[in-house]
Amino acid sequence: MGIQQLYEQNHKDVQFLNIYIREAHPIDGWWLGRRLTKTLIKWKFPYPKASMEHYDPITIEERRAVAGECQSALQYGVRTYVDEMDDYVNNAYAAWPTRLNLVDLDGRVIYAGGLGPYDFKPAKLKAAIETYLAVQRG
Amino acid sequence: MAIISELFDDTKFIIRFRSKLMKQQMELNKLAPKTGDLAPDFTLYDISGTESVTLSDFRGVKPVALVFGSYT
Repeated sequence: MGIQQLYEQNHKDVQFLNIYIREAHPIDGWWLGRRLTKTLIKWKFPYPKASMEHYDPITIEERRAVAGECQSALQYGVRTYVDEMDDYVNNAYAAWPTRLNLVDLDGRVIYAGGLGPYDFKPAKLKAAIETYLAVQRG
Repeated sequence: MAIISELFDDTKFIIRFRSKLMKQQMELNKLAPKTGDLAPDFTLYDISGTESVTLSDFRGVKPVALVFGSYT
């Protein structure tokens, strides 16, 4: 199950926020290689819409521009908000490179996903949402 | 031969960089909010820079699913 599907099924009961953080694999960082390595990685990992062609933004305007490209490419349907250049939200949630959380009505974390990409599990978020909503409905 | 050399160089780089970043991330991960913790509040702007959202505005309104990621 993907995020888009999760959103479509639950957006009436749950507010989804897509938080754009520091790049995972920018060209000037942990870049996933040149021609052959890039091809192998794209084949092995099911993230066909991820980019391998961006530098790490150095201004908030650049980060917003790349976030906009990402939003258009992934088409989750979820509005994207962009972490500021001090990476405050990224650091507060140890979110990099990717993570899922669920926050309840009292502002408490009720699902803290593991570090992505291997522990980025929409199915677990789905289970947490279903459990929480079932409890709320009594 | 050039292709093998490229593959070898890339692999070496990826592994070395990964070790460094994962170590940093493991340290940060210890401080990440756990189940039951109060979620750190924040206000962020969307891609246009004009519309903002504050996490605590949803208290008592709707639970919030936070999806963190990037394009690369």
